[in-house]
Parts: sequence; structure tokens; C-alpha cells
Amino acid sequence: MMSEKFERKLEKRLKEETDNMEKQKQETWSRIESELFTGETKKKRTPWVATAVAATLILLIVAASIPDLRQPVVNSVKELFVEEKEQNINIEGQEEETDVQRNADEEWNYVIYVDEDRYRLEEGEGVDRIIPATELGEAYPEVSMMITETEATPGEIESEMTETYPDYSIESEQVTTPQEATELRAVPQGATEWNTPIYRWYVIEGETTYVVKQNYFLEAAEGHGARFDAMLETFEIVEEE
Amino acid sequence: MFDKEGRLLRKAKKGDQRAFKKIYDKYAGYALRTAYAITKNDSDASDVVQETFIKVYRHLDSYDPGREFKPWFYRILLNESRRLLAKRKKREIPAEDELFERAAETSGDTGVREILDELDEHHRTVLTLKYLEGFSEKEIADLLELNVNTVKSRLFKARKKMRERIGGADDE
Repeated sequence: MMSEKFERKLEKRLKEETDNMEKQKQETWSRIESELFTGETKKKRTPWVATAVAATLILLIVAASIPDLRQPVVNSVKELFVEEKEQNINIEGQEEETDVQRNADEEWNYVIYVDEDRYRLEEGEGVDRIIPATELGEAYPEVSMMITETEATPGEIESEMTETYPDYSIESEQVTTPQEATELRAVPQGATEWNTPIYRWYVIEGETTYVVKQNYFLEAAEGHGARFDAMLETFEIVEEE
Repeated sequence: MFDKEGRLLRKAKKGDQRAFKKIYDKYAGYALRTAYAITKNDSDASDVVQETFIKVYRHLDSYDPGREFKPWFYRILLNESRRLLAKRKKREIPAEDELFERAAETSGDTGVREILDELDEHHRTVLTLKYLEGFSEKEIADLLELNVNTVKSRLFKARKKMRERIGGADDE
């Protein structure tokens, strides 16, 4: 049997001898960043030339990290979110790949990705609304997801929902998807039909509290309901630094 | 601890680059060591880690947040390492900087890293996962899809070879 002492020594020396990774780490990150976030592809390094390239890159990174006092800081935190990405959504049991686009409300500091093939985000006074890109017609109940900033507590918002929908019973639950939030569901009393309106509100608390109100109808739960949830999953409160 | 990582992963999944960079900072060092131990080449290790993180980012949607991230990450890393080794075997021409490294080795003291290089890939991999990454034998078996006894046997042989090369005096 090998002694524990030998194993400890082996571990210690392995760690010591492979410890000088900082430069390589930075250089590798620079290439990952280029490939994933800036659209250019920096491929495999050429030996010998690589060292010079790496040194230049590090110098550039260091230089870029020194603030240029003549320029205002224009790089908003929002720009750290990619402009467009693919999202997998489960629609009626089928996996679907959807392209979603970054939308960022300048006033309220949040980012959400919107499936712009199907929806559009309308910025309004005090509320942003994500609505179907093509109007559904008068036969259908309202389909929308509204995002609004609030100073109310989850309890107060629950009271507001109870008053707004007296024919529904209100259920409250702490959820982690589509967001870490208080979910408020208005559950219809009695018989339901295909067009029975569905109301689902999410209270998302951060430095600022947001209420997201989803409106759709029973038959659209696995369509619009699932798509609203998928978009809401991408919602992110952004604190400017 | 896991909650913080889970939060970062959720943010990265939403496209948050800062969160992804934090995940990179946490795992890159060990990933580079592991990739080096397998490929025996700094440049290849860097390429493996680059491809691994790109895959991780692009496939975060398929990661099950109910499970631990580390084994999922290392599985991708090991696959990428093997893919590169297979590609290199086809080339059969050592990279220029590998030749340089080998030349440098002959002029310096033989360290653990160099002795590790002399082991075959199977032994290097288990030794690295065990002593650099701190995986248990069971975890290594799961990662490499091997029987635990095979892992134990490879570890035993790898340690034995290391001990022979480092020298008995080191252990005394």
C-alpha cells in the first residue's frame, strides 16, 4: 500500500508545479470572449508567434481596462448581454428552438429577451407591454405580459389582485421559475371554457420591485402562457455600476 | 455555496457575461491543469479549455440545474481533451511548441509534471482527477464511465510509477 505521506506529497507537488496558470488563463479567456461575445474568431495559436500575440493581447486588455478620462463611460451594463440568442422552449411537449432578442428598458434598468417573431415590446407610460406581433382579433381575450415597477409589497399586490378579480380566488406561492418571485394566480371559480381569462402575476423583488402581469386565456396556456414564461425567464434586473 | 453557483449559472444562461466570467474564473485554473495533464501541451490545454467553455456556454440550456455543475463540466472537458488527442494522433506530427517543451525538459530538473507526462493517458487522467481536482474514486468512475475497481487499479499503478520515478527517498 502507498503511504498517505507519499500521496500528500504527490498532491502538493502536482499543485505547485501546475500553479503558474494566470497568464494562460487570461489568454484563454480572451479567445473565449472573442468567440462568444464579440463575433470574431481567434483560433488556435501558432507556436512561437503565440507568445508575442499573447503578450500583445494582455497589454491590450490591460490598456483597455484603464479608463480613458476624455471619454464618458458609455458601455452600459446592459451591453454585457448578447443581442440575440437561442432559447429552447417546451411547447405542448415539443422542444422548440427560438431566437430571442435583447430588449432593455432605459428608464427602469432591466433586460428581457423577446421572441420578436411572435411578440413586440411596447414601452408605455409607467408600463411596458409585450403583446402578440399580430393582433388576435376581438373574439379572443387579451393576451399580454405587462412589466411595471412598484413600491408595493407582495401582500399589497395580492390585495390589489383580489380587488381586481372578485370572481377569482387568489393563490400565492414562492417560485424559482420562471423567476425567483412571489407568484399570484387568479383561479377561476366554477366552470371554465376555452376562452376563460387567465391572470398570473409575478412580484420580483430586488433593489427595485417589479410586477409582471400575464394575461391570456385557458386554451392559450400552453402556447402564449409557455412563451411568456420563457421570455420572463430571461428577465434580469440590472444595477448600473 | 451551490446556491451562489446556481445563481451565476442561471444568469449566464440568460446571457450575462459577467456571471459567465465568474464561472470561468472559478473553474479555468483546474481545467487548464487537467487538460495539460491529459494533452501534455500548454497550447493544446488552452485550446481544450477554450472549446470546453464555449460548449458549456452554448449548452447551458441542456444543463440540469438540479444536478451538480462540476461533474457536468468535467465530462465536457474530458471529451474535448480526448477529441483533441484523437485529432493529434491523426496528425502524427508533434506541435512545434511541444518539441520546444521537450527540449527544455532535457536541460532542467525532472519535476512531478514531467514524470506525469511519461505516464500513459489513462494513468495521467485518473491521477489528475484525483489529486488536482479532488474527485473521489466513485466520481472519477462516473466521469470516465469506468468501473470503480478499474479506477482503483489505474490509480494504484499510476502512484506506483510516480513513486518509482520520484524515488523512495522522497517518501521517507
